[in-house]
Amino acid sequence: MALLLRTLSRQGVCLSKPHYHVLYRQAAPMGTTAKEEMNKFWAKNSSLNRPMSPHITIYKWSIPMMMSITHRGTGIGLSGAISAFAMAALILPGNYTHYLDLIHSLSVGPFLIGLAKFGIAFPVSYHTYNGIRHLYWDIGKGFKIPEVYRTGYTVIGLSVITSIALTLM
Amino acid sequence: MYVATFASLSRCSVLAFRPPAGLLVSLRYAQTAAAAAVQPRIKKFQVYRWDPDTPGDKPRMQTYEIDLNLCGPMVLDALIKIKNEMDSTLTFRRSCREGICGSCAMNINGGNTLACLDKIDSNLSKPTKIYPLPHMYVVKDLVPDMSNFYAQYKSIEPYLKKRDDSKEGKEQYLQSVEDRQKLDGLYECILCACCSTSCPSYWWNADKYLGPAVLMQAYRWMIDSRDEFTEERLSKLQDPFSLYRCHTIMNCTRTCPKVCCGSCPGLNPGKAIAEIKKMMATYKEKKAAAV
Repeated sequence: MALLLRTLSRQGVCLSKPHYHVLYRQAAPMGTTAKEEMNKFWAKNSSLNRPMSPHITIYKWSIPMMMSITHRGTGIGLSGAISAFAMAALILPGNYTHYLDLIHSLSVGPFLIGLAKFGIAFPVSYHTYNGIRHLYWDIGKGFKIPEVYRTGYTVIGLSVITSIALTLM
Repeated sequence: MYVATFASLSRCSVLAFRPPAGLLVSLRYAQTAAAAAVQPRIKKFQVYRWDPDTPGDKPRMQTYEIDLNLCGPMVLDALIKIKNEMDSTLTFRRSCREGICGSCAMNINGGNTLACLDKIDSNLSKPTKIYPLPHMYVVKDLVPDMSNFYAQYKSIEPYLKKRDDSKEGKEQYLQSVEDRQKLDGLYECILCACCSTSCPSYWWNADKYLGPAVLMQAYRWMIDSRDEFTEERLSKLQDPFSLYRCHTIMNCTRTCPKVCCGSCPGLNPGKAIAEIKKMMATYKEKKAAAV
């Protein structure tokens, strides 16, 4: 009797289902598949209105974490910039030299020009060097935490040096 | 029995022969008086609280103060002390208190670890912040709903699979020393879920991405020389989400609490996932070459 009750409560059984008559004779509990368990999890939690524990607001930031999101950010930025440039080249009237003269005629100081150059150079160099770090990971190397930090600092250092060099050119 | 008595007496730094009772009492009194003169070291603990049985309750932080002189060294000791002496409604999972069961996994000061292995920071000016494992449905206070995590583990079939089951149970399946060494760093996982719940990809895609803990166990069975279903295990991961949501953020390896001593840095699910990705790239070629 206890086994029957346990089995019933485990399954959340509705006794009107015809094939459950088997429980009375064999009392063999039916297992759940992984997929069933996952579906039950989502159904239960959304209906119970349980809160979600905090994540991005409380998790401690680290250099590798910041480098990963920067890689994504620079990737989106570079991709968007190239697409925008391509669209502009297709749509805007006038040729390249016309726009080059337009930029020259603007009276922006050398500092702002330098800042703009750095703003383009840094994403390009950071994304490139971190991309090489990703390729290093793809062959399975550099996964110990000290190595992750070492290669990370190398990427940051090289990116800054390259960006400054490109800016000053 | 006499040896034990002698040993315990010498621990109390009391003389082994029995001096007059008055002298013994005054010696012990001097000891305890010296102990009481020490300043209390008050540490603040900010703990996430939420009660499902209080209607309309919102998650909040509650602060408790503990004298570290009267508490064990680990965060779990503090939580147990709070529950025993200050607030018995504080709810959390715990069992072995030695870093082998994985029950007390939670987010302490921004990182996921086991509360029983995390030493309380003796810096009294900063509070210790304790949250449940990130991006999990909260059952109560520090208790997350782990069913999805366990279902994902079930889905990778974490057991030995042979083509021919007839020899099962008759003899040991032999394995060379080199093949057994491949399992080192993989079998020790206690499925505490610290790594999976530290992964931003798992936060955003917990329904379809398996997460580092489960993937590392999938790898553990793939490279077990006794298992004969490696290709099937690999082909099960052949979709955009189960494996390929990993972007090598490496929060998993950084947070693994299975650090046995100074020389073992914890397990490395990030590396295991990278090895799976390498195997995924080549196993089809092997199959095609074998045909």
